[in-house]
Amino acid sequence: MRAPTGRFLWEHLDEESVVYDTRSGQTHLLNALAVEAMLRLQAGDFSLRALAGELATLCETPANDAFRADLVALLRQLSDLGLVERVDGEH
Amino acid sequence: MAAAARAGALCYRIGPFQLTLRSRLAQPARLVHRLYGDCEVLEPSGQINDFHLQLRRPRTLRRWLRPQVEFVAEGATPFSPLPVESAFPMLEWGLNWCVATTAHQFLMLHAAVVEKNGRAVLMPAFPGSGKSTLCAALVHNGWRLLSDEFGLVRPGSCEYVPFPRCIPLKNESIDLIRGFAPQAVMGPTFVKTRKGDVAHVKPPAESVRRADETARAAYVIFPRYRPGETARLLPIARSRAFMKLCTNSFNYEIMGAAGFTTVAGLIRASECRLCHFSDLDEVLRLFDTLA
Repeated sequence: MRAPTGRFLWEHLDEESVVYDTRSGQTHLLNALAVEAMLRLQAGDFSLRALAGELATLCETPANDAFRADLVALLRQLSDLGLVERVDGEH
Repeated sequence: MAAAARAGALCYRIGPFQLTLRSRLAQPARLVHRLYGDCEVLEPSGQINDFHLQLRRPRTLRRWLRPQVEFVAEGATPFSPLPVESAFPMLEWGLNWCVATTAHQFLMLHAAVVEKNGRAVLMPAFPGSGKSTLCAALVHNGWRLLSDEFGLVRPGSCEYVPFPRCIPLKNESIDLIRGFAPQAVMGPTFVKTRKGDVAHVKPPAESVRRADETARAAYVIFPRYRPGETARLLPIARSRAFMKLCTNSFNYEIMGAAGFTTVAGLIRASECRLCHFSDLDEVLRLFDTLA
């Protein structure tokens, strides 16, 4: 997965962030975990396993199947909003 | 003023907008004179006006059964005719429509704005919030009216631009404000309009006189009238306040990135609170702690 760079305007407020997508014109409210996921996916391509590992460390929780399932659901939401994209060959 | 409107064209300025009104109807002309009599009247010729408005009798056969009035803006008739008794409310709704659909030099938030001691309070409008009632009470108790309907902000600015118009009160709020602020000048009650009974509170003369003075954003307060509840301010996350402002704007999406950055600036400059209230005396005391 990856997140496009240079397309979003950010406003970080308290524990949440508001992001404006200059391509769609949509404004989204993101929680802290979604922001951390997006910032990592903007920095480079990540496999699900690698991203889960980084975020689990951040959350001080094991990167187990349950965590990965939650992350998949989060990424699906972000993908539905057009905020993250699959990299070619990813399933 | 009334004579000018009936004779031909009345040109006047409300805040940043200049408008021309043409109407041969007596009722709206009288009420414009009574409720907007403190506004600057302009010479009809030689002005480049923002809005050219007209109230006229439609020439349909229905006029023989029941007189009607229609609102014309720039030659277009955006609304269906209404009973002629509703001419003044129609003028007010029509001007709202003109501003909301064209004044994109501003970010337009659907909100009241009041100011005291240089600190502006934005009160976004949500159904049942009691925003207009609270606004009318505040501006007759030491607060300056910038607007009851439009929080106007130039892109990138944290200053609200005044647009002091009449405050439309509905139903029970009419008698409530008549009792609470007997000094308020009010127009007649228009019964059973499409928004219920409506009466208009004249913008205070001092607010009209200071219509060129912008006011700096200091608070975003989301009022909510709740019967029987003690007036209190409650926290709201600024991120949530941000989203509520976006969804409560007339033209946030049209403004694009400039809308986002302007809302971000307002939120950064403001403390954000929910305000639950039922009693006007109580909530006014609460607001005075903000000024």
